[in-house]
Amino acid sequence: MGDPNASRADVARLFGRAAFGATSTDLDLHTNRPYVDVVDFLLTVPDPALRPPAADDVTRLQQESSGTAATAAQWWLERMRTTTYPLEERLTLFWHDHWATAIGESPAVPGVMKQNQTLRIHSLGSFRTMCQALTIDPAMLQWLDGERSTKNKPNENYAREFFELFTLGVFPQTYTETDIREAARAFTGWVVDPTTGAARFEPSRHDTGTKTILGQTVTNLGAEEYKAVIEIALSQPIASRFVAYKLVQNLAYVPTSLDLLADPDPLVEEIAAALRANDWQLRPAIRTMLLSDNFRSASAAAGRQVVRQPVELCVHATKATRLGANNGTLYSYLTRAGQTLLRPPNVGGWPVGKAWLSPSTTTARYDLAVQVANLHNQRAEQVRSLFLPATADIDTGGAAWAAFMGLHAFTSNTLATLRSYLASRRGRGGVTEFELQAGVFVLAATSPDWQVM
Amino acid sequence: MPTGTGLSRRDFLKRGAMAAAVPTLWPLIGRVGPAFGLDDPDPSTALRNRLVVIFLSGGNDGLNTVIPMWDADGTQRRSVYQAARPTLQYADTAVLHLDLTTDDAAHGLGLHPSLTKLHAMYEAGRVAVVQGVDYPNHSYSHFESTDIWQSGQPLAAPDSGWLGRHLDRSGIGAGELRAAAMTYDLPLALRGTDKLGITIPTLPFRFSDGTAAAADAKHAAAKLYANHPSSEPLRQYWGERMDESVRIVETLEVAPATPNTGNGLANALLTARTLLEGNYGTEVVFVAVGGYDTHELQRTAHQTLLTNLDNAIDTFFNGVPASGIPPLSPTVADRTMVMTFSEFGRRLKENGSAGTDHGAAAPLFLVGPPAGRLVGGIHGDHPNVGTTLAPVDNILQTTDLRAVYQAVLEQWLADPDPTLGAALPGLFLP
Repeated sequence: MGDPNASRADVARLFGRAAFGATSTDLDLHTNRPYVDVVDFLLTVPDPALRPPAADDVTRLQQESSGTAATAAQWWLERMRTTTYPLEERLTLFWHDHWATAIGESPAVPGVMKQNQTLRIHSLGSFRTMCQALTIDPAMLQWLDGERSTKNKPNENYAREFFELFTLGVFPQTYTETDIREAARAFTGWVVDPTTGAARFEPSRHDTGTKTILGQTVTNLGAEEYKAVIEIALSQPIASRFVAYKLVQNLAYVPTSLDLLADPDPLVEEIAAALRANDWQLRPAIRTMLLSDNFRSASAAAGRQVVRQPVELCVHATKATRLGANNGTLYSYLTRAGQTLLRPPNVGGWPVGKAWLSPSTTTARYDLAVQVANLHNQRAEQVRSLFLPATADIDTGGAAWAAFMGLHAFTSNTLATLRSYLASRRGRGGVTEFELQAGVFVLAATSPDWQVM
Repeated sequence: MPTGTGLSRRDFLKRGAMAAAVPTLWPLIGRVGPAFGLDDPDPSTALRNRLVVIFLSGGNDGLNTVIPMWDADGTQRRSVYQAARPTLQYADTAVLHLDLTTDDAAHGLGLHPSLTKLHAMYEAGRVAVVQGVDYPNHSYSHFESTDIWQSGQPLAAPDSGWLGRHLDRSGIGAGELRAAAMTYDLPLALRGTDKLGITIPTLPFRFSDGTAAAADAKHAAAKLYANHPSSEPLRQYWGERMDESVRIVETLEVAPATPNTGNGLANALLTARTLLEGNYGTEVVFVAVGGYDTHELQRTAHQTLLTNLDNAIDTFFNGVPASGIPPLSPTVADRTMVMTFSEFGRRLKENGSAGTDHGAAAPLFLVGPPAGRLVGGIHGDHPNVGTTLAPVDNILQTTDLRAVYQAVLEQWLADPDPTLGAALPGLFLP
């Protein structure tokens, strides 16, 4: 076990990975508290169905009825920045990536925004219940053609991705093409009501025959049959490890082991065991992850760090500078960085790890920081001077700037880089402190320390 | 919407409406014109053959790309096709006949009616159609099959791209433009175990805070992140990408803007053309277009996709004279070959949604220079077992993709891959 108390580095890492980044206030508030208390602080999320609506829930409902893909995504970015429950939003982003559904002609904004709230409600609940909700989620029925799948012509699209992407994975593949076809038959009957937009079971479209899925027989259960398929999938030994693998990959590091049965990563196995022990409840599993030494003290030397997603960078940068994230410019640069919120590139979701990074997406990450700096510089002078630390701080070790960026400290190479910039730019003359501050901000926000945590 | 072409899971775009569309982010400030670029081009790079790979993401319906027109050679190809495709079939009179002689391998086959320009190039002997291309242990997953196609590694977990390994063998430096994808994410095809290709979604390629001409001190400093210590390899990797990006921007920031033709794939190919025509040492480019996953309402969607493909290839070679976009410069055209692929074909039988589900083998196209070494015509057998197209509802492999790759590597890029086995014979003249 590590130190019972959270170090400043612990807080920076925990918030950086699971809460869209720390503010300097977060660092001051939580450093030296018991680590378990900091984790439980993040996990203290009242059931969304029971707590009073947030102030911006009204806007969310407006987006459901009259939003565009852009306004809905910008609403969500601002929710991520301002929420009282950052872990809940961070996990909602994770589940959006997991059940990746994109706004288009069908599903359109209303369906995907309703799905967004469904994901939020289940984000720390039961994975089983989440599977049930998503399998007959109207946007999902449209996205993966469930609404067009009938007993005479079952469409395999959802069944295939249900096994491959949502529950079992292919590390290794433990299901067959026949299992996919049989599951597709079991999933038939669900349509989206064109008037209400709700899912509806249409008995005449359902295949009532007997199916054999992963060696288990499913007789006709009508509107309840999809739940039987979910039970069969979740009873597979690989299922808990696959869901755990997805969490680790998104929130901690990309595990090197590609065999979840023979050689599971230790953190993956810890989380998977928690899922099994708690009947698929996510909250204890995620608590297990955040408390684990395999998360807290993961070896950076072994590459066990996470490449932060563009959305996380955008939210963290606007948190630090206290700028609104509901901003069309930032949204457009997220697209260039490869992450259009609410429009994942395909049902497999966004990249992970190094796959995020190419010259074009790297350039876009730099530009995202530039745009935040530009928005900051458009503020009135007295407001501008409130937030960014003085550049002289870099000359004396950069403690104030590191805190501003939600880091416990800069690494020596980053500090050397910032100093090199300041020396070079000051040397050319004709520069204001504001320009230097913006330059330090852009470089700090494109530093390895901040992009990878 | 980014063109999804990254490592593995980004490679499949579900909806045609979301496909392609590398957005034009900068105003059109120039046209693709004569060669420009580095001041001191290496003459050896100017003489290299170039390869343009077009990824049709989602799974192109091969059976409606190269279509049986009648029951030739004692087969029931056409009969089986008609029975399997009650609403998606094309009349034999609409199909673009591929026979050049009455007894060649194209006998009774034709191209989809939308591929008129490709058909004209076929008749000029510039197009090779390789039939029934697939790999052992076929996967019907977009993601797995895309990885296998991009890696050429069907028998083990893919760890590198078939063109990325070419970069490994060639050896390239940071910021070198040897292999580039017109995508936001770097596709597996261009990832070696050591070397990486680059991404240039569109041109110009700049930072939003100014050009090197403005001598921005931030850009110079950002290169220093490459010095991040190896004790944190993932952070070091980011630092190297930052350094690489600055170098590429410095090389390309004055390149003219890519014109907007209204066809995302054509735009990407014009960006590719600027790199290939300039003295950047670019040898391999990779473009991607999505929307081929036609599970439903396939007929119109597939027509649009193939029309766009046909126009894009035509634009790449011949320009758009009416818009002031000139043809590919003859010296480059003489050394440039285009190759298409998709992660799989589709099922023989159409489904209940007027579409087709994930299938197996499919044809691919190679389009070579005029009077070049590429042997035009049909290569390999049309999928054809006994008197039906295939014994089950899938199209069988007649050509291993690794043999196609090896032929291209060995005989076009002069760099065979020792892991790929024998080249497909007869694709190139000696």
